[in-house]
Amino acid sequence: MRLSRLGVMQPTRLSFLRVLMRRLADAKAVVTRPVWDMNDEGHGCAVYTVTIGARAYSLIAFSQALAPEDRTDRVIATAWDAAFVLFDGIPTEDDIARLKRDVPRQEAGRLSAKEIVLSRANKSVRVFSDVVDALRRGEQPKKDLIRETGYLMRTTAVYGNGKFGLSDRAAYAERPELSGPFAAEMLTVWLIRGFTHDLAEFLGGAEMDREIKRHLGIGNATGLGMAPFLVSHPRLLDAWFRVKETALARVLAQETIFEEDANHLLAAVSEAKAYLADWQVADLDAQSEIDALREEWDRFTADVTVETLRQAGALAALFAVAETRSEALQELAAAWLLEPFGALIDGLAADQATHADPCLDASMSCAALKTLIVSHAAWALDVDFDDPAATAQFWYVSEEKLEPRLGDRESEAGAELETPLDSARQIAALYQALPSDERPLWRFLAEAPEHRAAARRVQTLAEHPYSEVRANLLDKDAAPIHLLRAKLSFFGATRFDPKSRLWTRVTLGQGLPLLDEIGDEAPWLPSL
Amino acid sequence: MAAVSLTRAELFAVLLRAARGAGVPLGHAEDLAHAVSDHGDANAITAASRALNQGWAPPLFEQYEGLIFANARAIAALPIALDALQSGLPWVKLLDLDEAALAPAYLDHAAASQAGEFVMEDDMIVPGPRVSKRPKDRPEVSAACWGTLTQHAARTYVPATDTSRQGAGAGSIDND
Repeated sequence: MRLSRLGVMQPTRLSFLRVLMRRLADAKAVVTRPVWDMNDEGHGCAVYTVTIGARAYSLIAFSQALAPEDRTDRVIATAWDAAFVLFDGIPTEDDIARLKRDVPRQEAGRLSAKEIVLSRANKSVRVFSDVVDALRRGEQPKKDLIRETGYLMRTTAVYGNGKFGLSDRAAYAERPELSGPFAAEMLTVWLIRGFTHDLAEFLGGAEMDREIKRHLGIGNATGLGMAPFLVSHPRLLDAWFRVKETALARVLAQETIFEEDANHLLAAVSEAKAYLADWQVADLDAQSEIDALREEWDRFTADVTVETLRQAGALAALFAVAETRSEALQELAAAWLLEPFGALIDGLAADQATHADPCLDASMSCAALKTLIVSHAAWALDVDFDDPAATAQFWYVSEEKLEPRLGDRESEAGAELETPLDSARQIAALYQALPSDERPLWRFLAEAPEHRAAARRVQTLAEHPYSEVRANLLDKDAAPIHLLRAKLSFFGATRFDPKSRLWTRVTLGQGLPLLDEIGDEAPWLPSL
Repeated sequence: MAAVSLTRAELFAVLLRAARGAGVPLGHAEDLAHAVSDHGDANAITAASRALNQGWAPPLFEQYEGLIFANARAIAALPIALDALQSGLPWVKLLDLDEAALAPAYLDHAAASQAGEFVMEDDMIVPGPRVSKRPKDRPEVSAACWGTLTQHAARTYVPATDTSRQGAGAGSIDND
C-alpha cells in the first residue's frame, strides 16, 4: 500500500470494467439505440438503452458545437463537445426535454433520482477529424493514428452517487448489475464509447473496421479530484485490494495448471509485450519507466513456455522471481498471472463492494491501541514531522468549483484550512498523546476529541490491512498521481499518460466488446 | 428562497464540511455527517445546523455507575455517551440536551454500524433492542438551514488564485 507500488499498478481481469462486461454477458444484456437525432454537423441528441434482465438503463447524449478556445478538460470548464446522463429506465420525451436543459450545464444543472450518472466529454480534435475525414474518403483510419491516441473523445468528469441531485448509490446498489463498485459509472463510460464510434461513423458516412473501433476507448483526464477518495473510503479500499490479493493467492496456490491455462498465460505474455511496445507517452521520465518495464518483462518471460508453466509449483516460483525485481514488474506479473483463471477468481468480484463504514471500538484500552499503532501503522511513526519537508504540501478544497487541490505550504496561502488527508500525521499525533495504561479509549477521547478520527482509522487498519495508503501525503515528494493510478487501474484504465505529478490521461474501455458484442472476451492489455 | 431537496450524499458532504468549518473535531464531524445523512430526517438536519451555530465545546460529564452530562451539547456528548455505553456502562443521562432531535439519528447509526443497540427514554440512554431505519427519501432542507450549513462549510474553502489553478491538473486548452 505504499505510493511507489500504487503508482505502477496495472488493470486485471478483476478491474471494474471487465467485471461489468462479464455481468452484462451473464445477463444477456442487449443495447439498442432508439433515438439518433443529429444534424449534419453531429449536433443533437442520442439515446442508447441497455436492457439487463428486467431493467433498462439509457444513456442520453447531447452533442453540441464548441469553440476551440472553450475546449478544456479542467473541472472549471463550462462547455463541452458532448454531455451525457445515464437514466434509470427508458426516458420519455418530457424527460429528454428536461435533461436537454440541465445535462449540458453539468454541475450548474440539477438532476433527479431518475438519473444515475452525469458526464461530459471533449473531442480529441485531431484524431476525431482524421477519422471522419478518412471515412469520408472511403478509407479506414490509419492504425498508427489510432494506436497513438486510442480514443475519439475524452470524458473530463463522471459523476455518480448523489452528486448534483443524481440518485444516491444506496437506491440501486442492491441491483446485481450495478452492485459492483462504480458499476454505473463504468456502464456509462462504455456506452459513451459506443456513442463516439457512432458519431464518427455518422459524420464520416461509413463504418469503421471493427478491430479499429474496438481499439478506440474513451480517454479521460484524471486530476486531483479522484485522490482524496482513497483516504476517505478506507473499508472500500481494503475490499478492492483484499480481493486482488486473495485472487493472487488462489492462483499461486495451484500446484499445477492445465495446458489450456498455460497456453493462455503464454498468449498473455505476448499481449503484454505488444501493449508495452504500443504504450508511448510524452513525459520523458514516464516513457523511460515504460521502456525499462518492457525490457524487464522480456527478460522475466524469456524462458516461459507451456512446459515450464506446467511444472509443479511453477506459478509460485515465477512470482517469487518477480518479487526480486522492480515493483513495476511485480505488479505486471501479478496482473498477468490472474488472466487465465476466471473460474477460480471471478467470483471474488462480489466482495469488491462494501457499504460498511469504519466503526470505533471505544472499549479498547489506550495501551492496546498504542500496541496496534506500533504493529500496524509504524510507517506513520517513522516520519519526522518536525522536518519541513514532511509537511511541505497541504491538501485543500478550492472555493472555485469546490475541487481538491494541493498547495505548497511555504509559498501558498490557505494551509490553516487544509483538508485532513494527513492520516500519517494524525496517527503519529495520536500515538504521542495516548497514555500507555489500561484506561478505556472512550475516556481518553472524551478529553482529547481531536484524536477520535485517527483512533478509528488505526482500529480499522488492524482489521483491514489494505485500508490505508501507507504514506505521508503531506511530504514534498508525495505524488498524488500514484493515488490516481491505483484507483484507475481498478477501473480498468490502460495507457497511463502522466502529464505532471498531479494529473494523467488514461484510456478506458479500449479493446472491450462493442455495443453489439456483449459476451465476447475482453482483452487484458489491448493493442492494435 | 425555497427549501432545498438534497440527496443523502450531498447531505453527508455538506454536513462534514460544515461541522469542520464550525470547529468540530474531525472524528465528531464524521459521526455527525454519517448519523444525520444516513438516518436523519428534516428535523435532525435542522437540529444539526442549529447545533453547529453554537460552535464546539467539549462536554462536561461526571461518572458514577453511568455518566451524567450537564447542559449536554448533542454533537459533543452523543458520541461519547455511545462510546461509554459500548464499553459497558449501564446508562448515560443527557441533562438539558440542546438538540434532542439528533439523538435518534445517532442511535440508529450506532445500531447500523454495529457499535451497539441503544434506546433513549426521556433523558437517559440505555442498552436496548433497536432496529435502525435508513430513510431512502430526499430530505427537504429549509433555505435558512441550507444557508447555515453552506456558510459553515465555506469556512473550509480556500479562495482560488492563479497559482492554485495550476495545482489541479489538466491543460487550460485541450485541442490535441
